Amino acid sequence: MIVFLLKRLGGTLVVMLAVTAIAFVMFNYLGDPVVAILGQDASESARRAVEQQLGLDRPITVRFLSYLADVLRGDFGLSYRLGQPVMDVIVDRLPATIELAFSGMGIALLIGVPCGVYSAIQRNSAGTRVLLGASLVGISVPTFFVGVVLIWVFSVTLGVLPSFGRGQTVDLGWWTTGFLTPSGLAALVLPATSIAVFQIAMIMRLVRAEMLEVIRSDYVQFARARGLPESRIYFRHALKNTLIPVITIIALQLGSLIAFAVITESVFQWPGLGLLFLQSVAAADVTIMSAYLILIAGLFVVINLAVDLLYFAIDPRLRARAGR
Amino acid sequence: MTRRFRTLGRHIRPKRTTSTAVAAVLALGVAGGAASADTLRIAGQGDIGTLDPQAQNSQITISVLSMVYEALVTRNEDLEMVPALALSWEPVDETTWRFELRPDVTFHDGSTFDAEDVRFTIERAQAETSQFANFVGSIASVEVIDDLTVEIETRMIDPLLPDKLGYIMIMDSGWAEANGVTVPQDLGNEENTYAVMNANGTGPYTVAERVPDTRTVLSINPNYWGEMADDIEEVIYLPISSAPTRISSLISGEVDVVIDVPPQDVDRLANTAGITTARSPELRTIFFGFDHASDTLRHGDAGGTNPFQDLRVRQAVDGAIDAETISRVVMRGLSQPTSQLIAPGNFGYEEDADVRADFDVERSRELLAEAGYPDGFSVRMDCPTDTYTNPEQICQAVSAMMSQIGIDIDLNLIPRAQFIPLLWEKDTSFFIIGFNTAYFDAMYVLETLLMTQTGEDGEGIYNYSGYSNPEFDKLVREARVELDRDRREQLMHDAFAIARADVAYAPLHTQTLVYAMREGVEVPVRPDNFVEIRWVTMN
Repeated sequence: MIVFLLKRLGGTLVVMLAVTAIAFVMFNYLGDPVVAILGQDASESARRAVEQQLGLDRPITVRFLSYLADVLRGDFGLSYRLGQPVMDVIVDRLPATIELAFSGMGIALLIGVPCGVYSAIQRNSAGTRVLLGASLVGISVPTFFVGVVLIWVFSVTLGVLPSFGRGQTVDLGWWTTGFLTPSGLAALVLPATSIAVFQIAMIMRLVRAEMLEVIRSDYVQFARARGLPESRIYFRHALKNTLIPVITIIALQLGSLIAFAVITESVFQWPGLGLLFLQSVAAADVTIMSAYLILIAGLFVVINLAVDLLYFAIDPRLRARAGR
Repeated sequence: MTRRFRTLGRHIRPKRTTSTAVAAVLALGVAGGAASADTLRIAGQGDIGTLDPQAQNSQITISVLSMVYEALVTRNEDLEMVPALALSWEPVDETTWRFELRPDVTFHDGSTFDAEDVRFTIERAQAETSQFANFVGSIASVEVIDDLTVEIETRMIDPLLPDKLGYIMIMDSGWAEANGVTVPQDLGNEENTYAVMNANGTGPYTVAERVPDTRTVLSINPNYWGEMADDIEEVIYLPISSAPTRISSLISGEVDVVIDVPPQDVDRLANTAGITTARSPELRTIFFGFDHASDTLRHGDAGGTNPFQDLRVRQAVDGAIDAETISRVVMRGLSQPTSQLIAPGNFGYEEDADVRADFDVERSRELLAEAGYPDGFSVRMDCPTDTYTNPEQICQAVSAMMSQIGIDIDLNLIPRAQFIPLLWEKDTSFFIIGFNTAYFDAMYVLETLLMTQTGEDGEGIYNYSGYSNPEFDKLVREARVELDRDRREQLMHDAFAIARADVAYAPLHTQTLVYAMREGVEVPVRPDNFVEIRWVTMN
């Protein structure tokens, strides 16, 4: 067990080091941060002064080592665009992204799972065909298009929901939430729906496929033979076993919703990490970009590690091999 | 529908105004959806970067900050220089300007504005971390004569000193010292500084709330000394980066004004009920630049030569650019073709000279042949994709026009953050560039963009093309120390005539600025793209 864990952690460290190196290269070749700071009209002397301020005049190896040392201390530097410490900016934006990702996933589960169960039980009904057709559209339509259509219908035409921003938020000290105010909830509806569309379709198809398999299995047939009521068979026995793979996939999807909500966040001017990343790219704000890349890599490394450990706990074969 | 959004808009207010917000919502209930006149919501593409008035010389940052901070001088609606924090100014001798300051002005925190604040701010603007050092570069010293008088000594004769000081927004020296912000932020020092998120100016608005990339809420300063066209209680600046969302939010009534309107949406918005647009030619000119200096093309193939050193080649390029078509097709009419390097509205612009040579492909081909390139040559054109208006389409159109005369363009479309270093390193043979004058005066373009780069007194600091003509330099040197306005104007006209004859650059057009707003709101467009809040009215 310990050997397995150490091996995993060692791999994790290698991955993180590689990501830091890539982030640093990005730092240097994606664009000149001096442009972001000074703009087009900058004299030679002003440019040299900024390079000196930022230490850009030192050799690249020295800069990498000092960046690495800073990052290990948890110091990602100042955002060139906003003049604030990178970690402060990221911690500020995290709640918006997390709330959006969880709300989107919540909507997707509330709609996706029942639809999946229904379409598995009533596998040939007209309703199922409609649902399957709709889910195909949901999977194929790009997210930004969904966002723009939602804005057009609900903000411009009907005028019932705001098209941008997060509404009024409540500051809990360590977290700002939009869940506690009417305007915060109203602002959440369109972006959450927009990211949910793809997830609904995916979850529905996943649940349906798993459910169809489970329904055919022996224990469901036995339950039927025992004369258990249909609802008990489907929801108590079948659905429960269906959810194991579904939960694994959902956990991974949630990770990518947090990391890659870039498009939805920019369409709705949702002040989260994705929007921050996009604006940092436009301004060549490399300190933010690098930190974002490192943190997202860290997030996925942690998710994967957790999944591996879960498998280790669940699957006796893995344990037996490690014990040998 | 309007009413519902009114309520949503209300929620954007900071918490401290809860009671007024409730009152306003109640009042709306009575008024029945009529637009309330106390909050103006302005949406633009990007956010302001900082509240520090000397830390970031970017358009939107200084535009919003000019509602909070003020300079010694400002502009009226005819763009003439008028008093702001200074009452009057005059030269005492050739290198000394005396400014009489406005009495009884207080900063937002209640402290009194005086001569010491002026001296402090000018020195702050000269700091290494300031981005406004160019504007105060000619200043040798600032002497406080009494509480309301300062004398500014310049290193050389500087007729434009008052114009330049229009960009130096005055801070309170006591506030700056108390909060440890006597110099603008050092980005390498990894320290957050107070002035980035806090402000204390003399302007008509105070900063009530700032959430980066979300909103900046300004609230009216009841003790403001100056005149306002209206008394809008609250101004909210909202960055909305996605263009369709920005436009939708105007149509749906969630914002009142949009300042970055994509050209393709202008006609549609102008025809939308309840929306009006305002336009003005921008003080920015777009033109093409050549590498005059290298002996062989850095990027391209012309048999080991640099064709752009030959005047006839530059004339051929200039004559083969169909600016009218670009204005009509690419810019949808939102540009004015020009033959000049500065836009109308600048002192030194000459309307009579602003006539483009006829678009003549045949003549261009002949010129190329005479210059020894009957079969043309190939060259890389560097073009940014995310600055100016429609740069990508303009460059594509000009590439096609160049191929008409045998010049084979290898179009290099890159983001601004990669493009500008090419200019800085002079690592480009053929490029597009947009340039605006800093203080409504042609001198800025003449001395920084066109003079031979000497590294002294700002001569040619932005001369990325290597253009150099001693006769031209001589005229500009004469003009920059000429205190007589008419004589100075004549000298500048003469200098432009030389640059034009040399085809130092191939001018294309001036851009048109468009603001869109809901009916009832009037935001005049200032050609330098400053949202001048003192002129705004709404009902």
